[in-house]
Amino acid sequence: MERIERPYGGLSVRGLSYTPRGSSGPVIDGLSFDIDPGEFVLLAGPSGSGKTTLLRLLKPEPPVPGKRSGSVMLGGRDVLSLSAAEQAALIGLVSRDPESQIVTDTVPAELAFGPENLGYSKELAALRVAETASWFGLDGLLDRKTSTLSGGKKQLLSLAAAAVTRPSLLLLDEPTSGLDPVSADGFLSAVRRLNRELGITVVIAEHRLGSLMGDASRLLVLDRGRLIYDGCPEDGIGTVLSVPALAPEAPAASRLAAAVRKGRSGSTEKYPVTVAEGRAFLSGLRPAGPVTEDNGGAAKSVSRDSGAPALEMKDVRFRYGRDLPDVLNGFSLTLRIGESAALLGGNGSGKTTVLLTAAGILEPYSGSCRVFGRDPSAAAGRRKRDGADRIGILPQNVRLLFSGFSVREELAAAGVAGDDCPDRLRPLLDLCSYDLSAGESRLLGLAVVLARGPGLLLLDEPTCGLDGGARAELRERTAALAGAGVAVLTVTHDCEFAAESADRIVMMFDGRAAGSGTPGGFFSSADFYTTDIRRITAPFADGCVTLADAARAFVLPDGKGVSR
Amino acid sequence: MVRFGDRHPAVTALYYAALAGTGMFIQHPAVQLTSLCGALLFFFISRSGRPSVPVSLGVLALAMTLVNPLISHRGSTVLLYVNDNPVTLEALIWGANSGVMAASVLLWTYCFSRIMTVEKTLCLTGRISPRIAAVGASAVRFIPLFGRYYEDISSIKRSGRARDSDASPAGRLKESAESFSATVGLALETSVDAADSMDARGWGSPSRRRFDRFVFGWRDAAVMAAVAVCAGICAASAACGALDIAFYPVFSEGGGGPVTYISLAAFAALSLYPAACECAWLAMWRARERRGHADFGEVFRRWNA
Repeated sequence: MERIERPYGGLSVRGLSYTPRGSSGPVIDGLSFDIDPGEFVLLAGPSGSGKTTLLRLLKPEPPVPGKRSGSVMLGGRDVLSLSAAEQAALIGLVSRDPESQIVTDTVPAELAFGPENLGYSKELAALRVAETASWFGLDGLLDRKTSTLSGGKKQLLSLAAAAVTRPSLLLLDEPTSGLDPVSADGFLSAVRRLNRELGITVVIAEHRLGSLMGDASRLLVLDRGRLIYDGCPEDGIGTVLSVPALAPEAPAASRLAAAVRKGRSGSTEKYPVTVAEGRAFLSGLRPAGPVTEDNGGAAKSVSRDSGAPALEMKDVRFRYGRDLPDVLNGFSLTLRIGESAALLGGNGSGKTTVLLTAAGILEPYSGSCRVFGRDPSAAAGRRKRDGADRIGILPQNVRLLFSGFSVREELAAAGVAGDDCPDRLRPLLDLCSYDLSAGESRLLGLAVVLARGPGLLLLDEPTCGLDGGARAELRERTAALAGAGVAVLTVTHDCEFAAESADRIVMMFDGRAAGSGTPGGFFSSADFYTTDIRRITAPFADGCVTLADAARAFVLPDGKGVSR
Repeated sequence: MVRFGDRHPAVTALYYAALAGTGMFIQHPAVQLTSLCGALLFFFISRSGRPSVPVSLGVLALAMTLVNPLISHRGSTVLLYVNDNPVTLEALIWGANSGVMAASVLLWTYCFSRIMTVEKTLCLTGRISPRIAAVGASAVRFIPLFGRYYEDISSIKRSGRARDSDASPAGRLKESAESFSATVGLALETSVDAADSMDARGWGSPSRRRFDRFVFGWRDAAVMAAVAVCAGICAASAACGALDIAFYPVFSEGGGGPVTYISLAAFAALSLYPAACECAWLAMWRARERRGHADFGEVFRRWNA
């Protein structure tokens, strides 16, 4: 086994620039910063700001093609001078896609992959695998095939496999963007423990700034390849809020404060971060008046009871195997033309199963599922579907919709006319569809699905991994579709997106719809499953569910409203 | 006391090589019948699979028995004529013997495929070449992944399109081709990412060493030695003609001396060893249950409560 020196020391970046091959301008432009050993660094920035590139420059193996200049020193040694084995041992990397990072078929083999490459003796490799698996709570999975693990467990395995060689620096590139919030929290708490208990330096690029704000000791904000903030996380919120595409990622309390202040009070003022701080901020204000449906509220509850049903599910029962439990246990839902509904619920409550049943990919064993009056499943149906009664489904893994061509070719293959291309995709037309960021590929996927002119649109976790700007654009696009008479069913964990984009919220539990209502009504009556804005405003105002509601409902003491 | 399949993979592999090697090249009917008995006993005692497996192999053996005399007309004892062609006793015996051989080898192969998991196979190949083993491990992961991608991609295409009963065969062919090409694209992309992930974890460093969970103990060595001795005896006596059998023109045994009996005993020991292991295993558990040690899980739960 090679002896690998493990010098104690932080990361020191000086004048780092990088221009990709074939690109005119630099993607990373003269970055300089120092990270002390054991720090927890949160790297923020809108999609395309260079976060991934920066992380890949910090660990030069595998190399990125292009021209780099400047230096990156880890513990006093230039990372470019480290051998591949030393880099593998000292710098761990976990990236976005849970599927493609795993390279072997069983859990122990995956954990042993790094130690094998570094030539550990069998005894040492066995010890490392054993202690890593135990520490990460993976010891119950030792006999599992990696392909049978859930996305959350796959990502946790990738983290464990990166940590097994005891790196001093761990780089994480949007590691939770493909995970549901529950798995994401589990993953992030493992990262937190690695940092706190083992003292590993962590640099994490994430869109969910709110959930990491409290843990990070440093915040770096990137915008178009430049560092626009470097310092303590709380003081950086002003900078985050000043970048439009990044602002929606700030903690809800900060956004609430910014929306109420409307830029008036000086930007030097501190922003609240937690729910408690947000309430303390609001306690100094007074509500502008009761929030009712007509002065905004959350409810866009246009009565659509009169429209023809697009999707009708009645007492649907489904299970994945004869001896397995029911996943859908008498589920009923009627979705009318032009209506947009959001399906919420915990992991395993059957949300995605509803979507796949509505798409006709799964067939219920009892009950009926009708899309525009007909059974959507492949086994039934003879008449040809003509455009408006087609089904469009946007899977969570949008790559399933692409063929690996350029964006232009993907759009052409789907039959999108050149002019109909979403504006955000225009500059990307010549890129390969697989190289797009999560947000960009979601928009491309939507364009491909919409090209067939579906009357029923099914969206599976559409906001996973999206930056603030892409999220807003997706919200606008779906709202426009509902206006154009498309029925939209969204499965999501994102209460805020549901509150802003849906007409109706349906909560799933135990394979059934446990409750439903307008966003304003539903989220006002819920305590756990509700938006952060509602959690903050609950003691002060009713029906205040979205940021827009809150901005209307509260005014600063020196504003038009009367102060307390 | 461990089950036959829980020994080190090297033991299992050597055993299979020895058994298949002797069983396939020694035509002696006693050898073939012992081999079949050993396979059947092991199959049923270890509950390796559904009874339909040996039943279908039995049908295969019967078919071979009946078909051979219709094709081959050698042999001196004519039983009857079919279409003016003689059906001989010797050809019938030869067919039965070959049928038993085919059935027993296939049944052993079936049992071994249940025991030799991918992880065990890679443990063995890894000793020869760690790199080939790693490539094998990723290939094993990749093939089902490809299948899943294809299924997902084509089901999305299906749900979005006009009804399939209307689609022309040409249209359907085009659609499958599109799905296939999308699957290939996605699989290639995934494999590029996987290669990056391998590089990031030090793949390609010259000191690669294979790690596995299996421990080779002295009992494994002892079993391997015994297997080698038994197989060696059989091979040696076959080589010196003690196990020769002639089917044509008249069925006759070449050997018959003590060497023949010793080697038949050695082969019986070899082929009955897995079933004996399983019997001992079952007997041990029966004894434990009699002593009231049946439910240790219950004891554990009480202690943890």
